[in-house]
Amino acid sequence: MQEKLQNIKNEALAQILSATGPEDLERIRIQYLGKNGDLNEIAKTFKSLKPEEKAEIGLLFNDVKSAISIALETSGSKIQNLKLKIEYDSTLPGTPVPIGHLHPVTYAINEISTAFEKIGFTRVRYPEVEWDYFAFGALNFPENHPARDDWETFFVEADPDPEMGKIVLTPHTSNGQVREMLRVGKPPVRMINIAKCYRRQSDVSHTAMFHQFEGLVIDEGISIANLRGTIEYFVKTFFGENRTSRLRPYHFQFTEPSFEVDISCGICNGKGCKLCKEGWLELGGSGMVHPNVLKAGKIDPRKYTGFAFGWGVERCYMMKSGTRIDDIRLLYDNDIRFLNQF
Amino acid sequence: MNILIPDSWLREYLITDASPKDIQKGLSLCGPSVERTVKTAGDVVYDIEVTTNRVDCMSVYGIAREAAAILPQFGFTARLKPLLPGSIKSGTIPGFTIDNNSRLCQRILALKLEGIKVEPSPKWLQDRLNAVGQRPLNNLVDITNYVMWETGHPCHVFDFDRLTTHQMLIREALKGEQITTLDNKTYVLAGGEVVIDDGTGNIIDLPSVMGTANSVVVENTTSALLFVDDVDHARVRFASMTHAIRTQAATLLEKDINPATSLLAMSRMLDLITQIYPGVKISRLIDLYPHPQKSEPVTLPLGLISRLIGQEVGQKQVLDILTRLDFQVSVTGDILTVIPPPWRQADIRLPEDVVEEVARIYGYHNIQPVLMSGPLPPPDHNSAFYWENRIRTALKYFNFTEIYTYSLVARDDGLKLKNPLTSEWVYLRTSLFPSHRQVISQNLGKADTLNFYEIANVYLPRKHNLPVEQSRLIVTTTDIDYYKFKGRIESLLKDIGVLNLTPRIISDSGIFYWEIALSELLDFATDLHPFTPISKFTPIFEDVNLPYTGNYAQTIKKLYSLSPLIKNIELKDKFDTKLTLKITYHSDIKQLSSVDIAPIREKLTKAL
Ligand SMILES: [Zn+2]
Repeated sequence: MQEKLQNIKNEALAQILSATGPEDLERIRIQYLGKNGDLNEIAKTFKSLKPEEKAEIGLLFNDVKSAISIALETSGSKIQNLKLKIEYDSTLPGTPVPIGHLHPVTYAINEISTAFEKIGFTRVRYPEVEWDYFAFGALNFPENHPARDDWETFFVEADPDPEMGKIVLTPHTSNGQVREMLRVGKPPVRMINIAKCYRRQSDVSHTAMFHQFEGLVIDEGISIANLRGTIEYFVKTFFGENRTSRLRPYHFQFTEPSFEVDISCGICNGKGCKLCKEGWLELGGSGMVHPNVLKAGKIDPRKYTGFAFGWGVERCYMMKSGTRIDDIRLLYDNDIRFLNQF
Repeated sequence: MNILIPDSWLREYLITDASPKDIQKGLSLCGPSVERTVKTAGDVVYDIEVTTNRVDCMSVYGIAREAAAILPQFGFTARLKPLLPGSIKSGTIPGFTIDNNSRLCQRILALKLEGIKVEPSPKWLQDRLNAVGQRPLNNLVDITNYVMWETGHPCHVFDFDRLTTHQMLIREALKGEQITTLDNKTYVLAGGEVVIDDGTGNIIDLPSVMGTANSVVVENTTSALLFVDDVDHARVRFASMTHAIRTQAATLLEKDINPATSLLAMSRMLDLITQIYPGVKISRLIDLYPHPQKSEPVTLPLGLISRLIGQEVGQKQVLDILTRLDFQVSVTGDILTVIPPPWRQADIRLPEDVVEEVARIYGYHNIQPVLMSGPLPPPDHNSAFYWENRIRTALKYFNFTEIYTYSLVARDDGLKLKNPLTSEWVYLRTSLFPSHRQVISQNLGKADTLNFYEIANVYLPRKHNLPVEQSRLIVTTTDIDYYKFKGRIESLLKDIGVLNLTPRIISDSGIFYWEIALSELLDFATDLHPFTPISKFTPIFEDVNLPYTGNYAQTIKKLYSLSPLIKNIELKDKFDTKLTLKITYHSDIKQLSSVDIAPIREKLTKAL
């Protein structure tokens, strides 16, 4: 009897192993576990056994029965999986969820603000339509400076304020410098101001409206070395580990000393190519905050020093390796075939 | 502004062992930037960008002077061959008077030449002018241009015999006066330009900008007046920009050249004349300069230099650099006193100006980058930036595409620009929609449906104040399914935690749009969702069909009032006359069964 049971088990498992479809398994199930199946036939003979034999054979019987059941089940799901593979074509595309697009300027602004927030800068936003005072006067621009005349800056038709002057569309985010000093009151100041700016110009690298980001750091002992450190950090974060920066002498009314910031060309890696000047690309202006500007912000220039920089968001984005946008006006044409690529 | 400087011309004043490549590198890192170099036959031409405060570098001599100060820092020998004013005798020109107004023109130098013959310049001089992009005309005009390029100060020459009144009066132009410049263009003056009058009301020159046709040298000129003037720089810019006469003379003189340079220019012109035409008779020099500018000393603590640079620069090096730049330097204790040379008077006024001079020659590339280590400013978490990004991202995943449109529009009730660039950008917009309507019309046919959004300011005018810059969100679609559009906006509102706000959707020109001040959302936006403990009693759900009365809100309100056990009503489907609603019944105190629900259902079906 024991031997018979063992044989049934081996036979059943072998059949289950070679089954190819659920019909096979069902047939096997009926043959062994069915009402008139092999196991039940054996069970019918149990009553002729002695009690001690009964117990032992009973255990074996249960063991065989559950082994066959488990094998049937496992094999069943394997076959099911096999069928899945056959029925679904994984090379067909899934049902898409239609999604829209962020504008490249938003990507650039997010990346810039994240980089600076990581080193403790506070993001702010200041007026785009601004008093001449904050756009120029407080920034040490002389009364007759060319930037203050009709050919370079937009003016609004409005009566000038006796103290604040005319209303202009701010040509740079530097208008936020003195506003931030007045807001914070006492250094340390670490500001990143990102906003729209306006200038009377339009060509492949200029649109009348564009975005700038302005960094301003004021504290005791802030030096040119700190400005270089901040620029290097940003250049490596935004443009990549292999890019580097340099400062060249320049001139701005509201910084002294003033610098033009260059970054190494990402195309030729600083060797010099068609797209760069001897391996360098101009990023924008920067400098140490002019003492007159600190004074306008009610900060004592004998105690505190600072640096500032203001660069074009679009310009930086276009200079990032691999963006391949060579005309800034594309960003503002809002052609859906352009926007869909982002 | 850029200037072309041939290497061979530069080396007439700069004695150095540095190669053109070395000069290019040194100047770019420590002085005016050499943007590129052009190789010509046997020479190299530097294309140099000079910043507006360094008009003293807008010349061959100025660059030589700068390079002589910079190159030793890179280990080269470098020496400037100085250009000195010769011994011109000052005095008068008999029978000729100049009546100047020093408020309009700081300095005037004039010298008469007799026995001159107008002819082409010598070839070497023509070659030099050609190399820097100046077209040779005749010997007299060429000498003025040559000297301008070499010394950085514009020069002019009149035909002396055409100045028939032998008189010059420097005055402001009146509005409506006319002039004809030497290129035969006629201009109507705006008033306020500085002009030269011949004493009879007749204008004979637009000094510092361009000569006029009635006084310049001509083919048969035999006597000439060499003329160097320093018209007030703001008035030069005014005249030049108003009439769009952008001559090299105007570009230079609108930048406040030190009048000391005028004398160098005049004496250099005289050098060339006597060298090329030894027989010419030369008058005495009229020099009208009643208020010579003086250099003011600047004092600063020596320690400031290293502090601002951020690393130690020794005293010896500081003094060495400043001396090379022709500053007079003295040290008393810790105090450094410097007196800038005349050509730097306008530019060097503050201690920081002196620091810049030392730092740039020392080399910014020699300063090691170090991030700030000081305390951080107190946190000021402006949550607007956070929510703007949440909204942008949500709308992107709801299939809307972000655009950036110009703040300026052709028509609006808002603020108007005084000096617009084009007729498309005249007003500051007070609504975002017109810009979006335009973008949509531009894109029609390029995609099946257009779904756009933008977060941008509108500018709401205020009396005697800046406009209110109101940050707004606009969402637009050309999809005709109103409920789909509304549903997405409602999902957005739900996502940012804004409840109880019904979006005001407007239909215009086949577009649905929703425009809202961000502050209306930001006042309520939240990520804080108070948690309600999950009930141990399971709710019962049921779909019911009810007639649609045309006002869903009213229907719902009525249904909720029927029983406190109705916890939620959700719209599953809507047909013309029928609503399918999913009703959630639930009690916090007991497990509901169909027995509890039956009477409520009864009421529901009868309610409408
Ligand atoms: Zn390159």
